[in-house]
Amino acid sequence: MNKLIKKIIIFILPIIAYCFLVILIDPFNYFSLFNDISNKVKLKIAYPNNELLWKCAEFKNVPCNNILLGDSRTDAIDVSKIEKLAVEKYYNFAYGGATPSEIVDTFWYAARLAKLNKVYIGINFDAYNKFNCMNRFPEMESIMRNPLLYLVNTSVLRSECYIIKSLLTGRSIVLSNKPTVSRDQFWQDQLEHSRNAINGKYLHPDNLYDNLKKIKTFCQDNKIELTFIVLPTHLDMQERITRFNLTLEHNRFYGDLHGLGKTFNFDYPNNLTQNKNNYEDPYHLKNTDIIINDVWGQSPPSIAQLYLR
Amino acid sequence: MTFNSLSYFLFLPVVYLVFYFTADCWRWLVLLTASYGFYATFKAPYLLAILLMVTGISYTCGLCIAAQQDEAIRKRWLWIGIFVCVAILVLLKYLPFLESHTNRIFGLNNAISVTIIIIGVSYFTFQAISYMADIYLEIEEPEHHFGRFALYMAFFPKLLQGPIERAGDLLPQLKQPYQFNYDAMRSGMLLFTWGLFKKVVVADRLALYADQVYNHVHDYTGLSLIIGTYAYALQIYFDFSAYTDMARGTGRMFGINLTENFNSPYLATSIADFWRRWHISFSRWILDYIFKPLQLGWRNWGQAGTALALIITFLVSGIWHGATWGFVVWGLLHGIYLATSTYYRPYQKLLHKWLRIDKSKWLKWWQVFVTFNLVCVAFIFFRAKTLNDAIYVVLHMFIGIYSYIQKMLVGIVGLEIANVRGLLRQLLIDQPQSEFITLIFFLLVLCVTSQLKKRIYIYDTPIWYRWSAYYLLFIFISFFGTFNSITKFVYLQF
Amino acid sequence: MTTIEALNQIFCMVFDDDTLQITPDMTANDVDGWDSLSHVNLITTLEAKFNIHFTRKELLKQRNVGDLIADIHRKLAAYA
Repeated sequence: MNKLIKKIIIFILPIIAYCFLVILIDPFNYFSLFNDISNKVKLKIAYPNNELLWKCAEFKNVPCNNILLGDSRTDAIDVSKIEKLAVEKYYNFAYGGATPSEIVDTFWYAARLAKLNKVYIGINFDAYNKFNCMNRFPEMESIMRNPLLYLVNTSVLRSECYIIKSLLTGRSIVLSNKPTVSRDQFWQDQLEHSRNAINGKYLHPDNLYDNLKKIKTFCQDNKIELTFIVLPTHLDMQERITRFNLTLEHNRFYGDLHGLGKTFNFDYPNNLTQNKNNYEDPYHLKNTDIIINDVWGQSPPSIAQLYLR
Repeated sequence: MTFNSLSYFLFLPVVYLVFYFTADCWRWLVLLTASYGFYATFKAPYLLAILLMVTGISYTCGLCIAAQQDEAIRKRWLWIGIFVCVAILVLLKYLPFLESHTNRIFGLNNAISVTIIIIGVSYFTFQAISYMADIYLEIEEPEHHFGRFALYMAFFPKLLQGPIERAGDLLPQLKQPYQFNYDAMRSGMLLFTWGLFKKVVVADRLALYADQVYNHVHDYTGLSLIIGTYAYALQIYFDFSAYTDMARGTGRMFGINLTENFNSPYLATSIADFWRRWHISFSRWILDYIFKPLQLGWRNWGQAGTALALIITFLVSGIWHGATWGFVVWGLLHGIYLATSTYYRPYQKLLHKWLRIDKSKWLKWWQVFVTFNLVCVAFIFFRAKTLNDAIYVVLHMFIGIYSYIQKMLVGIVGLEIANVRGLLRQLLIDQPQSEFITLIFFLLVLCVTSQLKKRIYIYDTPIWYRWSAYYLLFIFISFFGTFNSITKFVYLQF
Repeated sequence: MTTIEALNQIFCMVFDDDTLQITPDMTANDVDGWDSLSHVNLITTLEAKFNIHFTRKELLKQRNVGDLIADIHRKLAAYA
């Protein structure tokens, strides 16, 4: 028995050392016990590794009453510019690849941690699809509830390694997601093969719609201002709706949103969406100032179609 | 508390330490208390009462059967015991089914059964029946020590999902004095960890694909349905065999060897062979206590008697799993597979001999392939939420296969990478590519490990090799395991 | 011919193996092709050959060839 206990202790020593290292470096500021590593370094390394985990931890540490939710298109909106216009603090809780199911779960997570005042949900027709059903949020919630799961998360491990490498070499590590193909090829690939590509495989997301209705009811009961933003996709994307005979479903999407809350729609043929130079790819604008001005500005929207419930 | 919960990782060492430091004559009490405590964590006090009731009934009936000389009275005690155990099981298991029908007939709105859980009841009830039957057949002597008998019934490693242990196998082990054995301890811990790996890393990953298809069958056709079905076949195997490994590993730590429940079932060359390798303790139970009595009773009907006995046995097996048409059809299918094989097997053997392929490796692999697919077809009915869903899967699983294969070949030959990628993406069943790659990697790890296990005995290897394997296992479980509360063992529901 | 010799002959016939030599501790695992179907064939052949009838309980209790021989002897003695 003594031999077994000795071996168990020797076995777990490196594990305990690793756990201590994670708590010390804490790439995602989960524990926020030690501040030896600068937040800039963590932001550069940990944030691209797992945006969702970063934002969940950040929001838990510093909750905010006004939030943005959505995928990378909403994530691109510069919150500091909103704060200048609105003179209020905002938190951009959107993250790359967020599916509508994840957006719903993120809302409830935020609602548990903060007394919400204003909620802006960025959602597009290409995401509003029953087949777009991945949901990483339950796993994330488990991590937020259980520190042991944080210690054994692969994003945390990866970030730890990069941060240690950065500290040891003195060089900053830059994680780049730049595509290695030409812009045209990338554009075409995004149109046809990306996860949200419109290609005829579509079913109305009944469950999601029910969940959004629950959010609407919660917001009404708690006097939270709920606003939907349909971000502008390039015309090449919009044309696929007609090509794949999804016009009816597209109209139903707007019908659903209009029944849920105030909606700013940028996603229709206009000067913004016709010009490829305004876009990184068919989904993402290069500059989101027009969105910020139309939604948070004092003047009536210049491009967005506004629908008030 | 299940084996893959963090609370179990605290429970087990605490129980072991208390067990180790307790005097040998009282160790049964430590295990018995721990077993009831383990069962109590499901927050259903009626389960403890039912376990105690079944224990009491089978203990009493066992003693009464053995005390009688008169055959008729012995039989009467046996039937009383079996009747009470089966009545308890049927009432609990089929209460939702009965309630929904009585609600419909009488226009009621009862919902008592919605909250009832029946974890473990099927297994210990069957164990109680086997105990009483073995005493009646004079294969075993009754256990007089109620405490040890209660432990035989409630032993926590096998309480929730079996193996269904025979009295002759488990009771003598529970009576043996415990001696700490370093090798048993470390092999038990390794077996437990291996089971944990299979469950949280492999089975729960496969569940993503199976659940995605079978929870939304009407959203899919063709290849997606086939992949979902194969994923489920692998999921249920890894899930259940993982549980068995964890149960056996736990048992080994306490000096108890529980029955092996699986023996590479998907390498079976026939359905009969499959049932000799799948859920072995359960198939032995239905063979010994349902099939054999029926078959021997109907032996004068020849092959027809055997065929009928098989169909009824597997029908009972299907119903044991649950009160839905899906399970009934699953059981019936296996019964029909086996019943028809009693007729054609002799001719098949002659044909293989005549063609001189009876020893051929190709024939063996063909038989493995056919058997696996027959099992998967039955699993469609087992997994689908409703009979309609199962029929939908069967009718739609080949739609579009031909054109898919055609497009894939054209894409590969014409080096149309984007098209091939798009076609491959369909195999992902709307899950991320990284998950798929991770799954394939771990399935390969399992294959390689199973081959290595045949050639190398790990405790004969150098310490650096062993410890590397231990750390690798730990890393896989920690960093790639699923530990959220949504994942449960599949066979816990039966 | 003794009971055991007659039994051996029946085993050879049912399992189609003239080289088979039964022993008291032999079980189904020791004989190729001894499955549930051939076991029923074996029992019905034995019953016909020795003009005896096994009860279900007796058949379920039998664990090896030795148990089978003992039951046959007991039944033959009872009928004698």
